Amino acid sequence: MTEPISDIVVQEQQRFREWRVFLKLMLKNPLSLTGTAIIIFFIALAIVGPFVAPYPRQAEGVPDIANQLRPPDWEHWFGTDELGRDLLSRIIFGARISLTTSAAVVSVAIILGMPLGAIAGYYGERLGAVIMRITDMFLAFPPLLLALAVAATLGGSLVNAILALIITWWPWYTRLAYGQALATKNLPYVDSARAIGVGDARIIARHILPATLAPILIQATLDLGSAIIAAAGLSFLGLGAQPPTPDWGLMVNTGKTFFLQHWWYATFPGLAILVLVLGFNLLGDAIREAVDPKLSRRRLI
Amino acid sequence: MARGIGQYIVRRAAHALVVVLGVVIITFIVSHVIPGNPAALWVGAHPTAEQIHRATEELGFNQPIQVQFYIYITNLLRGDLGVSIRTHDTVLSDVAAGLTATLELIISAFIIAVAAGVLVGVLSASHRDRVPDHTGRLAAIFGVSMPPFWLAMILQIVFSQTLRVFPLGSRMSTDISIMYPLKTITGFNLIDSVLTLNFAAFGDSLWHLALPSLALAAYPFGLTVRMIRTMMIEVLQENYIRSGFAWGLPHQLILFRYALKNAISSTVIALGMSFAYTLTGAFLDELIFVWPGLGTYTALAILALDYPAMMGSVIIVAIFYVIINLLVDIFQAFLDPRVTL
Amino acid sequence: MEDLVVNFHTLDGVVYALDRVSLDVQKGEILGLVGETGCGKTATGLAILKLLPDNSEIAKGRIMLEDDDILHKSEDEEMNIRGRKIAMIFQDPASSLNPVFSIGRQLLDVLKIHNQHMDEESLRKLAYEKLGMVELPDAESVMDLYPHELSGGMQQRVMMAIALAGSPILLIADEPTTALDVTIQAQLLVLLKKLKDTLGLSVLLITHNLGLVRELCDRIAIMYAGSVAESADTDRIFRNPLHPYTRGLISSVVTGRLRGKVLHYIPGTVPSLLHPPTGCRFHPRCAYAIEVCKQAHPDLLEIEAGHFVACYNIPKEPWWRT
Repeated sequence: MTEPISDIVVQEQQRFREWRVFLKLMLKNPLSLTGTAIIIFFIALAIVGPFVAPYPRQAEGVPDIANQLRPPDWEHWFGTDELGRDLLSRIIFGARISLTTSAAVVSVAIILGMPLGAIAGYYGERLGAVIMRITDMFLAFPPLLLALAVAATLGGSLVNAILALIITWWPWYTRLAYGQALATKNLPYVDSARAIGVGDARIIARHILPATLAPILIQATLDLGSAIIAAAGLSFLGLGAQPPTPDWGLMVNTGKTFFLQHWWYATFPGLAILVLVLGFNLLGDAIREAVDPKLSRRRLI
Repeated sequence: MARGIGQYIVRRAAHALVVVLGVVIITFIVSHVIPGNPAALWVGAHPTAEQIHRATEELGFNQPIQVQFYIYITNLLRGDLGVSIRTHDTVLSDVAAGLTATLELIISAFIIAVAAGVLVGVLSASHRDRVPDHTGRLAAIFGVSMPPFWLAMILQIVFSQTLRVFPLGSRMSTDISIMYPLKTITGFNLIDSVLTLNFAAFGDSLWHLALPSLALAAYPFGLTVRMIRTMMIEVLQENYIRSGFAWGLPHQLILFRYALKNAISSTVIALGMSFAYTLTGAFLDELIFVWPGLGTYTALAILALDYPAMMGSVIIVAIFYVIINLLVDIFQAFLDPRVTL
Repeated sequence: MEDLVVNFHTLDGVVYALDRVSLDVQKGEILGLVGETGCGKTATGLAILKLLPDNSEIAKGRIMLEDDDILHKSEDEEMNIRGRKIAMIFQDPASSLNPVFSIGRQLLDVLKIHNQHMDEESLRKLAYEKLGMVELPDAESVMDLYPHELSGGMQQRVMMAIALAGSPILLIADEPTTALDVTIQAQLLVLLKKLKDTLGLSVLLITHNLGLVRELCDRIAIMYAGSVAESADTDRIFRNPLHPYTRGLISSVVTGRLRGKVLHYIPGTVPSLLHPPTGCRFHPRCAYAIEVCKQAHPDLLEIEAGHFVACYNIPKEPWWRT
C-alpha cells in the first residue's frame, strides 16, 4: 500500500500545475477581480481612513449639533447624523471595525473548529462521535439565534458580540474539517506515513490539516462577508458595538428612527455593508467555481 | 421503495430528539451557567438587591446545578417559560401569539424566494457562461450580500414613502380591520380570510405582506439560485442526461423534470439551512415593518432587557428549527430514494 | 459518414479528435468500430446524434441517413432523428439511467414522445412489449423498480428497450458490455444478434474488444488516433489485414496458441491529439513508414472489393499467423 517515490513526485507536480491553472482562471474572471478590488479598497480604507476622512474627530464621536441631520451636500458627501457628525467620516472609520470584527470571528472560529474537526475525523469511533454530536447540537441552532442569546446574556458590546459570534461559528468549521479528515485519513500516503511510524499528531498536522484547507478557505472568504452581516445584525438590535462607536450596523440602527425623513442616514452605512460583503461573496464564489472539480469545463467524452 | 423510508424516518426522529436535548442543554448553559448573576437577568433592568434575593430564592438559583437543570427541564415540559417582564403575560402565550404571524411572513418569503430562485437557477445553469448566467449569478450574489434590515428600509422608502404603492407596515390596515374584522382561526391571515370568505381582508393582508416578504426573500433567493445552479451544472454533466437527449426527449422536459429532480434532492437540505437564515432575518425584518410577530417580540425583549421573554423565544425557535430540519430530511428521502440506503 | 472532422476546444488547446472519419453502415448489418481507448470511436458515435459536449466543433463533413444529410439539421428536425431513426446505448448503464425515476417512468416518457397519439393503456402495453423484446422477465414489476435496484445486465437491457422505444433503424452501441461480466456480455450479444435478425436493425457497435467483433459483426472498421485505418468484412480483416496498425493490433491479441512465445506489441504510444503527428498519424510507430506518410494523411481507398485501407505503403508480405 505504500506509494512509490515517483508517484509522490508526480502528485507534487500536479498540485503545482493546479495552482497555475487556478490563478489563471481567477485572473480571467471579472467577478473575482471585482471582488478582490472591493476588498482591497476597504482594507486600504481601514488603514489610511483616519488620514483621509474629512472630519476625523466627528467620526470618533465629537458632535456638531449645529449641523445635525443635513442631507448630502458638498461639505458632507453623505450627510450628517442626529448629532451633526459627518456620515462619510464615520463610515470610513467603521470600515476598520467591520473588517477587524469579521476577521476576528472567522479566524478564531477556524482556529478552534478546524483542529477539533480534524481530530474528530482522524480518530473516528468514540472520540469522533462525541465531538460531532456536540457539534451537531450547536449546529442545530439557527445561526444568529445562539449569538443573540449569548450576546444578550453577556451584555451589549462589540467584544461580547464577537465572542457570541465565535461561539456560533466554530461548529461549521469543525464539520467541514471532519468531512475532509474522513476523506483523507485512509488515503495511501497517510497510510504509508503511519506505517513508517510517524506520530498521530504529526500526521494530522502535516497531512490531514492541509487537505482540509481548500474548502475551509472558500468557506472563510464567504464567512468573512456573512460575519459582517451577522455583526451588523447584532449591532442593529443593540447587542453589538455601543454608541458612539462608528459601527455600521449601529448607524443603521440609530438611523432607523430618522430615516423616513432623512433617507441618507440609514442608506449609506447599509450600502457600505452591502458593498464590502459583496466583495467577499464575489471573491468566494469565484474561488469556489474555479476549484470545484465537478464544475470543471475540461470534461471530454 | 416504501421499505427503507419508514426506518429512515424513525432514525432521523430519534436523532432529532437527541439534538433537541442538546439544544435545551445549551440554552440552559447560556441562561443559567454563563451569567455571573443569573437572577439579576431574570428580574429585569436595574434590579434592587432585594428583588435579586427574592428571585434567587423563588427561581432556585441558589440550588446546585443539577437541581437547577431539573427545574429547568420540568418547567419546559410543562410549557412554563416564565413571565415576560415587559408584557406581564406568560412567555408561552406571547410566543404563541407571535408565532403564526412570523410563520406567515417566513413562509411567504420562502415561497417567493424558492420559486424565483429555482427558475433563475435552472436558466442560469442551462445557459452557462452566457448572458442569462451572468445576470442570474449577479442577482444571486446581491441577494446574499444584502443586509436584510437595510433592504427592508430601502423598500420602505422607495415603495412606501416615495411611490406610495405599498403600506409602511403592520399586518392589516386599521380601517379594514374595523370594517371587515377578521376572525382568527389558524392565526394565518391569508388562510383565515379565505376560510371566512372575507376577501377584503384577504386583499389587505396580501398587500401588507408584500414588502416584508420581498425584503426577507432576498437572501434565500440568492442562496437558492446559487445552489440550484451548482447542482444543475453538475447534474447536466451526468450520463443520464445525455441518455435523455439520445432518447429524443425534448429539452424542456429534460431540464425541468429529469435534471431538476436530481438537483433538488441535494438542494433540499441546504434549503432547510437557508430557512434558518430566513428565520433570523425575519427578526430584523419584523422590527422595521412593525410586523406583530415573534421577531418583534424578541427584539423588543432584547431592548427592554426582558430576559425570560428572550430566552423563551430562543428555545421555541430553536426547537422549531430542529423540527423543520427533520421534516426536510424526510421530504428529501421521498425525493431521492437513494438516501435511505 | 463522410470525412467528418471534429475538434474540441479545451483549456489546454485544441484537440483534433476526429480527422476525416468515413464510415458506412448497411441496412441490417452490424458494423464494428474498433480501436484503442482515446482513438475517437466514442466521439464518432456521439457525433452522429449531435450529442457532443458544448466545447466541440464539427468542422467539416457530412453524415447521411438514407440520402438525407442529418448533420446540418435544425434542433427541431434533430428531434425526429434522436430515438426515432437512430438510437444509442452507452457504456455504463448504471449511470446512464436517471436514478430518481422508476424504469417505467423513463420508458413511458420516451414512448409518449415518440407515440404522441397513444393513450395511457396502449403506451403501457407497448412498454411491456419493448421490455419483452429485450427478454426482461416479469415486465410489470420491472416497471416499478428503480435503476439502482437492478443488476448491470438488466440495466443494459432496459437501456436497449428504451433505445428501441421509437423503433429506430440504426442502433449505436457504445461499448455496451465493457462494464459487465463476461457471462452477461455473451447474453447481451446474443440478444443484439437476435434483434438484428428479427427487427432488421442496423447496429454500429463501438468497442475495443477484437474477440467481440469477430463473434458478432458483419463488417469491421479499425480506428486509430481519430481516423479510420481500415474497414472490411470481418473474415477479410482477420484473414488478410492490410494496414500496418491492424496487423499489429491483431497480432497483439493474446491467445493460448502463444504459450511459450514472446508477446507481440506495437512499439511507441498513442499520440496526444493536442499535437497530433503530421500526415498519417500512425507513421511514428509504423515499420513501413515512407516519406509521404509524414506529409499527408492517406485517403481511405478500396484496395480490393469491399476492403478499404488508408495507407500509402501497404505491406507486401502476405499475412499469416503462427
